This record gives sequence, C-alpha cells and structure tokens, in this order.
Amino acid sequence: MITIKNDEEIALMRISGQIVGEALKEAERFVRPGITTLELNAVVEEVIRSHDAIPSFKNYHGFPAATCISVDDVVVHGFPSIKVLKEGEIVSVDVGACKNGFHGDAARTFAVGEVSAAKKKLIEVTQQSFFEGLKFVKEGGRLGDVSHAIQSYVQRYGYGVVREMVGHGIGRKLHEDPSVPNYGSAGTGFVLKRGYALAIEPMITLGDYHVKIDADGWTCRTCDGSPSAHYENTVVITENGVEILTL
Amino acid sequence: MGKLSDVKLCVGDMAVSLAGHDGGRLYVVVAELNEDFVLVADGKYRHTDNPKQKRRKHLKFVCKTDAIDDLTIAAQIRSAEENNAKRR
Repeated sequence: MITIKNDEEIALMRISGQIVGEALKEAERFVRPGITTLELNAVVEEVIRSHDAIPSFKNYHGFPAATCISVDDVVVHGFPSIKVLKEGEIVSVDVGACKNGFHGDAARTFAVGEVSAAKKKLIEVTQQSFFEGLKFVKEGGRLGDVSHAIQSYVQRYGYGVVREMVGHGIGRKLHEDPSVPNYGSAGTGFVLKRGYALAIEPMITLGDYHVKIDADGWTCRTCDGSPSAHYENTVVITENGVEILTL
Repeated sequence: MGKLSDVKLCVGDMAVSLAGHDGGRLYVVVAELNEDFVLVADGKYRHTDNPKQKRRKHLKFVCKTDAIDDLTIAAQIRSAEENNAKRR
C-alpha cells in the first residue's frame, strides 16, 4: 500500500531529511585516507543523535550500525568496521534518521583522496542519473519513466544498473511501497500522486551489474569486483512539484 | 538503504517461500518453467532430481548462489539460516 503524506507529515519528513543531509555533509568532511569506516559511522551517529533523532538503520532487520558504509566493489549495506580507508578508494555512505516518527534516507559516494578518472566519472554519472530520473517525478507521471530515465542515462556511459536492489517509498516506515527500480520501461508502473514520498537511489557499477550477497546476509558486492557508486535522496511530490528533502 | 527488489528469479537464486505449508523455508531455483513457475530444491527434503514446483509470486529473492548440486544447495541454505539466526 502506498501511503500519501499530508502537508503536516511532509513538514515532519522535512526535519528528518535535514538531519540526514547534515549528517552526510559532516561525513564528507571526515572522508580521507587513514580514517576507519567505524569512525565515519560514529561521526554520522553523533550528528543524528544530537538532533534527538534515531538512526533508522540500527537494528533494522538486524543491521548492526547507524550507517551503511560500502567501499569500492561493495554496492550497498556494507558494515562499518576497522577497515582503514585508502587513497584511491571510493566510499558510499548511506544514512537514515527517524524523528517524530518519520524517516529520511540518503546516500552519497565520496572519493578518498585522489581517485582514478574512471571512478570520478562513475560518481558523477551516478549523481547525475538521480537528477535525470527526478525530471520525471511529478504528479501524474509514471514510475517507469523515472526508472527508464535513470537506466538510459547510465547505460549511455556503459555502466551497469544494479537490478537486485531498488529504491523505495518512505515515511513512517523506512521501506514502504512502491519499489523504485533504477531500470524499466517508460510509460509503465504506478501513476505518481501528490503526497508520495520516495527514496530514489541509483546503484551503478563500473562493470557488470550482477551482484552477490556475502555470508553476513547484508554486504552486497559486484560479482566481477568492479567499483560501484550510490546516490540517494528522499523526495516528496507536493503541489509545487517535487521537493528533495535530504540535500 | 536499498531494498531487495522483486526481480525475476533465475537458476541459482536462493529464495524464501512466502506461501504454502513450507512458508519461510529456503530453496534454490534449479529451473525456470515459465513466466509463473520455477522448480526449486533445498538439497535435503527436496532433491534436484525431484524438485518442487513453486509459483514465482510465492517466492522472495534472498541472494544469488553458485549451487547446482544437492550437497552445495543444502550447505548454502544451512549457512544462510545460521547467519539469519545469528542476526536475531
């Protein structure tokens, strides 16, 4: 069931979104060679808790941390650990915060120090693909148009679009209906309505799009070991168009 | 945080049964019959030489595996169940 948010609920989601956005900006300041992903997690959790919010991911179906930190070939759902970030790696930080009963969810991929031109381009294309999809998020539009826009933009560069993981509706629950795939056909899928809140999150790989899940049941990495980038924002459809809550 | 998609199941995918008397049990897809049905095995009660027919909509994708024989299928399912138990 897709829930429709009224103006009051959207105002509350805006607060959660701002917290997530702030936490990601703080994480970006700390990303550098030599920091552990566990330290990055602590930075993000500190920001979330300083706003009296709760990290949405912690204990979500057993997930052990406040953030998903995914390095290089890990697409999403990486556990923060004592792994030290090295120059040339790319790290995706995915953050969720819950305040007043509503969740915000966003992710960014950062370069650790100087990275190769190929990785830099991957990050840029992943970010831009989100905005390509966003052009089609409007009242009366179709979800398939959004998915198709993301897929066609990414494939123009020869990158892979992960199929196994998708975006989602968001609100009182972290994962709500509908699923928002990053691939699909134009003119298909749900008709978008005012009050829909969606977490749109292209997960893009430099090589083949197939992924596997590690024995921990969470860590999702590319089968061919190619690096992957992730960009996500929570957006809501209002009477004035689409609003990004987590920038 | 990305959500697992309801992608079309293919051979080698581990999936959890959502409906039927075996609800909650893990299987590995050993063959695709058509748009609606797949054949699944768990390597223990349902072997690959006598797989069970399940509707795709009654299965939910869990992860990809490289298991093709009963022994590996059973081992991978056991490992997934143990991981799940640990998380709980």
